[in-house]
Amino acid sequence: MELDIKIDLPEDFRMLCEIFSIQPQSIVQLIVNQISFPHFYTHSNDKGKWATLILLDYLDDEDHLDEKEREFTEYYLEKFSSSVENIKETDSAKAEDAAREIIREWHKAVSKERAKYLLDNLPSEE
Amino acid sequence: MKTNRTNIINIPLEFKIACLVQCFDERAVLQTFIDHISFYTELSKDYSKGYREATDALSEYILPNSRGQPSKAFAKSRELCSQCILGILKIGFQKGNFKKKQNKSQPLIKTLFKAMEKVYSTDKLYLDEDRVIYLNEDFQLLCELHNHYPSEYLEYFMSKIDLADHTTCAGLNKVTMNSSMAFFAMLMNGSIDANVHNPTKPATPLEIEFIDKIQQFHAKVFIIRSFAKRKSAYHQFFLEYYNQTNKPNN
Repeated sequence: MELDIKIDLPEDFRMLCEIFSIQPQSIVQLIVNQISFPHFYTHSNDKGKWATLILLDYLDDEDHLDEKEREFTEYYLEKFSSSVENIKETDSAKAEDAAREIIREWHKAVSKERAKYLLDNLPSEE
Repeated sequence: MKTNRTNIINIPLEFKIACLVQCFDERAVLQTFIDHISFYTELSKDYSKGYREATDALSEYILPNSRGQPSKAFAKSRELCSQCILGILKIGFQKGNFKKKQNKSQPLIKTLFKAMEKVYSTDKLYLDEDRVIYLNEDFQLLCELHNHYPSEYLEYFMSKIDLADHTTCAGLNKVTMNSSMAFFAMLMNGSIDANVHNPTKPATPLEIEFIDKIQQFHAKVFIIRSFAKRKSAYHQFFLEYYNQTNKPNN
């Protein structure tokens, strides 16, 4: 999936990109590539953890959780956290796949829930 | 050292952990807590930062543990004792700010203090051979009026300090009533003017690593939504640091 995005480039970031001759989009792509719950929680000592930490830090602010979907979110987070609990380094790849399945399930369920919410709130045809 | 009940204090592990994580000196925390016990606050509804939390912490212990027995220390001066307490209660109902009314109640507190015969209280307590804490008149009065040893109050206060619990409550937006922890949290965020930190010295590699780790840990526990599980995760995390810090070679 591709997305055209428009973002501000602050001076510090822009100057660094120019000094090191880096395409700003390649850095954004690098960060986006590393954001993953399944990978982050199954590879505790991986150096590619920083991007996910930024997302987690953002989510930690309770205002960023939708109040209507709180129960839903908590259910899947709990399910996800149980699946990545006590995993051993040797089967981290397997655990990562299993964890990704839960995120897929969550994603599917939340999409369905939102569609239902929209349909239920359509004005009824007289 | 004598081994009677009055001068033994058990410092619980969770309190030690909380002080270690915050770089607090255990003795200084206890002393600051005692310094914020106010007999006037106990008898009034006035709010004053730190004093209210510390004094309420004692009330939380006193109420359920009331032995229903009249104070032994005032056995011979009950009349005077009631008059002074009534006087302080009256000051509480008057208009004016906390400081003014607290000062106004001082002569009555002094009279009470002079009249009481020490049964439970003492001027100072030793945590060990080098560490001593001083008990003010207000604190001693509250010991004697309710027939409790100072160590009972302090041990209660320390038993309510649980950083894993506090951090989990904050993270999951859970509100709990715990005046002891509320007081400790004020020390943590610096809203009480008190020097409870350990003497500054360059941070050890272990301390630097811990600060780095805890920032990541706060983010990482986001997926743990169960209160009990998150609290236990924090507890484990703090305990590991405590054990590392207290290894013989550190």
